[in-house]
Amino acid sequence: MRWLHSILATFQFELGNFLSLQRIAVTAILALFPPVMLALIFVGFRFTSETFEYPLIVTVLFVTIVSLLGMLLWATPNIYSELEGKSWIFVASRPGGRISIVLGKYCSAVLFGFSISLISITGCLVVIQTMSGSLRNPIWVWFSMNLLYLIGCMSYGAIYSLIGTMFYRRAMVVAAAYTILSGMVLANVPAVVSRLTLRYHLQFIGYRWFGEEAGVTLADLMAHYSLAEAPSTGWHLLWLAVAIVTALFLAAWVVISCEYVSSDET
Amino acid sequence: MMIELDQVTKLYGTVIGVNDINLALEPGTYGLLGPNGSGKTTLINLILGQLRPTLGSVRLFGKNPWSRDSLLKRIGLCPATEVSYPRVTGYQWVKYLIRKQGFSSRVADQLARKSLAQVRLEDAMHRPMQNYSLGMRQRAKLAQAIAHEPDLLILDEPFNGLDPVGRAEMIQFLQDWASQGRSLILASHILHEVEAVHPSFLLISGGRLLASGSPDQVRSILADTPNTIRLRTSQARLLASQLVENAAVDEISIVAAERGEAGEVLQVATRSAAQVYQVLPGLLASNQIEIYEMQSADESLSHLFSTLMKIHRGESQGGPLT
Repeated sequence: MRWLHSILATFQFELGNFLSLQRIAVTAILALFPPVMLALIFVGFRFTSETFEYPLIVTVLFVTIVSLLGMLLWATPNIYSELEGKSWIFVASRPGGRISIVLGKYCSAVLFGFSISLISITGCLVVIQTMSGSLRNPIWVWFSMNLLYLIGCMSYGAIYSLIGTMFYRRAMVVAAAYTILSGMVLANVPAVVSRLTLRYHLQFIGYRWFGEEAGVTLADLMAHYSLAEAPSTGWHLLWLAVAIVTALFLAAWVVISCEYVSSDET
Repeated sequence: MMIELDQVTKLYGTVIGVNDINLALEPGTYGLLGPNGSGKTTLINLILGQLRPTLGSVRLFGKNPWSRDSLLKRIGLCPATEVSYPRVTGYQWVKYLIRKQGFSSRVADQLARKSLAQVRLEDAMHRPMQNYSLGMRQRAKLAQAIAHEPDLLILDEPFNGLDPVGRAEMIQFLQDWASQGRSLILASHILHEVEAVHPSFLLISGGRLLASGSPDQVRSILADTPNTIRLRTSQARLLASQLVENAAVDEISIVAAERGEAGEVLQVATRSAAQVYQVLPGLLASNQIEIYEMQSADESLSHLFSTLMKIHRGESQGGPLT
């Protein structure tokens, strides 16, 4: 119970800090970037539902970029921001303070990251329906996309939190490198190594949930990875759940095992 | 035993934080004295389990603080670092840290208000901390440290940024804390401020614990080590002729006083200032010598530490400190 109070305290404190003009502005810019870009594509190129075949794929691309950027900004500097703000010793000298700061910040980062996704997805779907009216089941697409991005934020947030505890001085650089290497290189390799990436599993879930609406099929994806049979959605969800729990467990273990010292304390 | 350090050494790469420290402290009031960069904060972090000793072992209330962070329930820490969130009020910050102690929001609210009132910050507690003066921030830091009524309060340079009134209030608070039988470790580089709380001293320099002892023992070692006394007087030559016969006096010189100051300055180098202080009043009275100013140029913490370092290296006779 004490731990829950402590995690909740961090979560609420982070929420309070989030409500600054600067942070709200950054969130708004990130969240509105995808629908504005999509609208510009429609208007600028005078696309219609016949000439613009994959607006949902473009939506996924834009929303993924801004969501990952949001998670990178809020989940990764979990330790470094405390050290830089010289507040680390105040929280670390509390019972369970180290773990609660990681988990509390993880929860708040997921909330911020998912908020961006939610606004972006909603805006993009409104643009698509207004400009082309091509979605057959917009409510289902909205719901399933949001659910997928929530899982994505939780997964990437857990990995970024782990990176933040392990490489706290260069966390952003390492996290960005991980995202590029894992999401853009390894996930595209048609070999077993791609299954170790988060994108591989999120991709399969997305294809199953709203692939048809996006104009792509599961068969295309299976062909890319040379798979005769696609694993079930449950298997992918289980894999991601294990990845999240493992990453957070490791982050908790690292944060209680590491000596975090700011330069003025040495 | 409250704190036990057994041959503790802490290295930051090739830099020595603390070096081979042995310490056993019963509950009580302690002044951790040392120049800036002497290893005080490192020692505190080792005691709190924030750092792991490179060599040796640390025990806090009989347990290893590195692996048992539940011990931190019994500790209140007021670090030297300054913290300032842009829009967070003193009340929000203190309440947040109390909640991190494991208290519910309701209990944390009560404790925050009580502790902020204790440090006389209740009127300003709803103001953003960025608008606080250094002294107010210092008091807010103290409030978060005492709110959960810890068994041991550790303060690192608590007098930083305080005006004279604030210092007096802080001293009074610490005296009250100690008089309630609670334990206190007060780290500072200013001797007289720590002395006002009447602690036992722990003297640290260069990462080494040079000595520990009572205030009287510290004064005694200052009095019994080589020292230079400066006396500005109207009859420097007469006083010099009287003092030169004293066996404790090693060297006497007379220099001109500063411009605009009366008399001349007599500099008396002695290996035992205590002996000189003993005969001086008699000499002054019998010869009716007027003294405008008297100071022991070396009677400072830096001198004490250089003396202790000499004793440590075997270059000088040891005093009564342990």
